[in-house]
Amino acid sequence: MELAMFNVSHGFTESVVRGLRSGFLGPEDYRRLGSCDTLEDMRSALEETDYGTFLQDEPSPLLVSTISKKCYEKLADEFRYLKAQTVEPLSTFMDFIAREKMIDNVCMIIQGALNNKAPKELEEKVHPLGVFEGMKVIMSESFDVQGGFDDVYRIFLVDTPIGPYFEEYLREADRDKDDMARSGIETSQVGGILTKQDLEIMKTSLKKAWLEDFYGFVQSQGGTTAEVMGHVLKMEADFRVLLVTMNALNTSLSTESSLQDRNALYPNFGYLYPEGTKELRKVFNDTTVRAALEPYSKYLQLFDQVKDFYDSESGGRGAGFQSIEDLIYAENVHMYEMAFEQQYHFGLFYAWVKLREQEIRNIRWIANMVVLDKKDHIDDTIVPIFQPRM
Amino acid sequence: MKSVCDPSANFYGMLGVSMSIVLANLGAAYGTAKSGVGIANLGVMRPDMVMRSIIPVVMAGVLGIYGLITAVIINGKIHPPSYSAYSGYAHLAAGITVGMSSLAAGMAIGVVGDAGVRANAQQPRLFVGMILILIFAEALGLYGLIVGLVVASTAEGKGSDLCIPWDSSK
Repeated sequence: MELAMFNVSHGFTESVVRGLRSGFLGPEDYRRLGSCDTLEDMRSALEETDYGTFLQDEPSPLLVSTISKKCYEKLADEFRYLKAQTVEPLSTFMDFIAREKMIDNVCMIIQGALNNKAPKELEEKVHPLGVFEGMKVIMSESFDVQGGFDDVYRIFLVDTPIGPYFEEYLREADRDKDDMARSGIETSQVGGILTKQDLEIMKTSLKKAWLEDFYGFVQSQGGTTAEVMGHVLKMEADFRVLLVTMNALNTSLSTESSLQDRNALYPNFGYLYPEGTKELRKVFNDTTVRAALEPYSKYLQLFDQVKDFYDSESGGRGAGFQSIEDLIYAENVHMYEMAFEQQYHFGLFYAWVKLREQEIRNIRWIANMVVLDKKDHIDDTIVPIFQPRM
Repeated sequence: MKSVCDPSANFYGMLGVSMSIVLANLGAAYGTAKSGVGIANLGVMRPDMVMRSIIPVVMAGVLGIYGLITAVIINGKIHPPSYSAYSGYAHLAAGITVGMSSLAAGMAIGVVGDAGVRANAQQPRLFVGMILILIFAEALGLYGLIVGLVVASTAEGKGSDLCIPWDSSK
């Protein structure tokens, strides 16, 4: 009986999140931020909001990256506080949320190691939400990525919470390598040096494994959590499919031979699964994509909107230019706001983290526009959160 | 001369009385609670819609009244000295009928009320649809009430000689 038993274990954490919800920046805050002339003005404007004096100790020439990093640290602090108050299964749920950022961090570290960056520099770029034990070890050891990724995995990554996803990825990659070796083609996937595209593919595969794991966990919870988070994750999976398809159209992955690679990146659930993904596996240009998206009016609309902007963009950035990611963010904000309308489910926590990230994205965009002195473009891509609907 | 009836028949009659009110209230409570949560959440963003959204709570409350009516009526028909076993069983049946039907209706009203008011906040044109669904859910409780009252009322004359004689001197 969800109604009766949920608050016994999770009532406090849910109420803390609902309290934090009232700390989101409102329309007046965005207006005040938008009317700032320098980053210093932004610092004082942010002091009046829930962010408070978090930028107090920063030295005077403020950078946009500092503001953004401090915002993420605040989010990470609040996240860790919440996580400390939780019991199972909510603890595992919040761990799942953090794992996405852990994947980002590990991929960034690997990339940094490939380019021989100093550990100090890597530490700057670490996402605070995705910190896990053993990360410092990986960063400080100057391990030899050139030598082969298998060793790296076995020594360092097998104990981390995202170890299973690497295992799955390596299993896929090894299988491909064996297939290709049999037909005499050499591959540089795992045994050798990772190229930039390989790294992107690895990151997308890891995220796919994480998403599927998350979906399985959420479905096992049942009740309202399965309903709300199931919907959220299905949309997430569909958006990934769309992004992979659209990116692939513009790169070498659209050739017939690389279709195999692309298809491995489609998650095995979602509203587009299985009929939609079956169609999308075969597309190679715009018209085929439109035909495949025909039965899904929402996605077709999204695709058309992006196509219009890309076509009319020939003269340069028009007013209101939005990439597909921006459109997806706007859709997602609405979905996460809806998660707050229901009670007794875990989707609240996921929605709160994502909405805070969107707010940080908004702040970063405003800061960039302020620095570039293009304040009239501010409204292009910021998405207002919890706007009053009266 | 009429013999005194075995008092164990009264057990079934009284059980019928309590079942009708208790189970009906359970249904009404679930309906009120579930849709109340939805209204509380909706009221944060759309306070103007709160009063319209109280309708599921009202409909759930009506189910409690059904149980109350039946309980009072059955109670009035219990006359201990000449209460036959048949009457006892009939009143038990009536009580459970009304109670369980109202419980079912309350659960339906709760779930539909919760989802309906939240969706209504997004799309005002859903209001008429939601009301229709709630009415059909309420009708289930009404059917239970009708059957329960019919059974309880027509048990009067029938089976009065189905009394188990009981000697009060022992």
